Amino acid sequence: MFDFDSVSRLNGYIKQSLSENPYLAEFSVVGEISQYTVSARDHAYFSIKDDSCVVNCVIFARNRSQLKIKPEIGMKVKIYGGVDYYPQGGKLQIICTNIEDLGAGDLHEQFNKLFKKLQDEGLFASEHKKSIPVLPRRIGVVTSSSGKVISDIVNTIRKRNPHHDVLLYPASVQGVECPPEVISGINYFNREKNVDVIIVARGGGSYEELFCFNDEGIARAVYNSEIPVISAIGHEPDYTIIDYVADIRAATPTAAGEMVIASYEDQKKEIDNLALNLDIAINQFVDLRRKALDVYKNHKALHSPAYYAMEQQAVVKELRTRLEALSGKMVEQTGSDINQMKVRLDALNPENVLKRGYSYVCDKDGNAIESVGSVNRGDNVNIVLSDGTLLSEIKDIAEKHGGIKNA
Amino acid sequence: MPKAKDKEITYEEAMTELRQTVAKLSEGKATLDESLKLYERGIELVGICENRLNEVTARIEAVNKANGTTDPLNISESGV
Repeated sequence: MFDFDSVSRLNGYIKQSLSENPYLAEFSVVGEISQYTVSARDHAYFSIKDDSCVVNCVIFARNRSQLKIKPEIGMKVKIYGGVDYYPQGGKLQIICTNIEDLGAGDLHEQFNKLFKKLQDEGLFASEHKKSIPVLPRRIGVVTSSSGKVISDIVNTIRKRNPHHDVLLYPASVQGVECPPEVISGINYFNREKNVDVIIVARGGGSYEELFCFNDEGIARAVYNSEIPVISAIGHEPDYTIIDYVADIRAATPTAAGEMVIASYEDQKKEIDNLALNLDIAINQFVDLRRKALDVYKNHKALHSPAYYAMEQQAVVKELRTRLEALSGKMVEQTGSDINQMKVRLDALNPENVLKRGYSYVCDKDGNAIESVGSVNRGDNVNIVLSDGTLLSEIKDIAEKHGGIKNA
Repeated sequence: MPKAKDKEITYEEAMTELRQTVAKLSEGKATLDESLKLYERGIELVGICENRLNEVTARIEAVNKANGTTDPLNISESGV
């Protein structure tokens, strides 16, 4: 057994041993802050604990001023530093160089809690998702006015279709200002109704930096937005709550730009195609009808006096031709014979019937009117004479066996 | 005769109506009168869609939160 001859020597040896241990010279440890006091010289004396143990710590003013967080009792933290032994008091403490908020561990927990809550409420329901307009006239963008994100989006949109408006609502996309500013951006567009689609965008960043988009307020603003919302937060692998509530999630801000504007060329092509099909369809329709009409016309015409007359004329012409041919051969026959035949033939010609002062009455389609029963007072009819047509209106109708027909 | 609601019609609605019009007309089941009407409407819709597609404004603006106006935003082709 080693015999230390004084407390001083013992404590000195403890200090030396501890300082020689590389694990204790520089390490990090996780715990919950259980005490926290700041001295007059701006050093902070505190302790961290777990379920059963506690250890004293100090962070000197120089390091304390560099802290990104404001330590508080109850906060779960990760501290970085080394063990220091104070031989005069026989006390051990950790000299801290940095303290991190262990939100990150807790962040996942927060995320899961909020995710579950909103999911249970139905904020992610696909039935609620609105479709993105193919050709929004104006695109609202909620993002930082500085940085590459807005220029990425605008340049992508310009490339695909140069004819569209973009309206930026400048908003902080990091830290505590992010949720209220993003929410007011979404609300602004919904109030003004001056855009057809909203893109909420942010460039890449750490989990912690993007964490502000895991915000219940933002989620509700997106859910309640009457204008479709596209989320484009960070890069491909990054998912935040807003991505689940948004009507569609874009992997990156550039992808959002591509998504929001249909390619001008594609759309132009489709319109041209449809216009062409429209012409083809109407032409086909007219052709079909014309053919059907022709058949119908011919069929109808068989019963029409005009057609009958035409047919008779053809017969007469044919006969006349034959006759003339015959007349050459039949020189022995007298001209009077031929003339007689001609006269008889002429009598067959309906044209000549008309020349004799007869006429026939037909409707506007040329169908002969054979009975007073098929017309009414006030009808328009055509009276066909040998040299033209009288366009007439029926004033009254007298039936053969009696009075005036009551129209 | 453009319908009064055509001012309100969105590009998607016009495209959808145009597709339906072409389909209906292509079926050939409509009467002559209906077909002519479909054709006329189709031509009208083609015009609406083309106009929408070509509406040249391309304004890039930012909301001025101080006074609620929208001001032009300058963005270079290559980035900010």
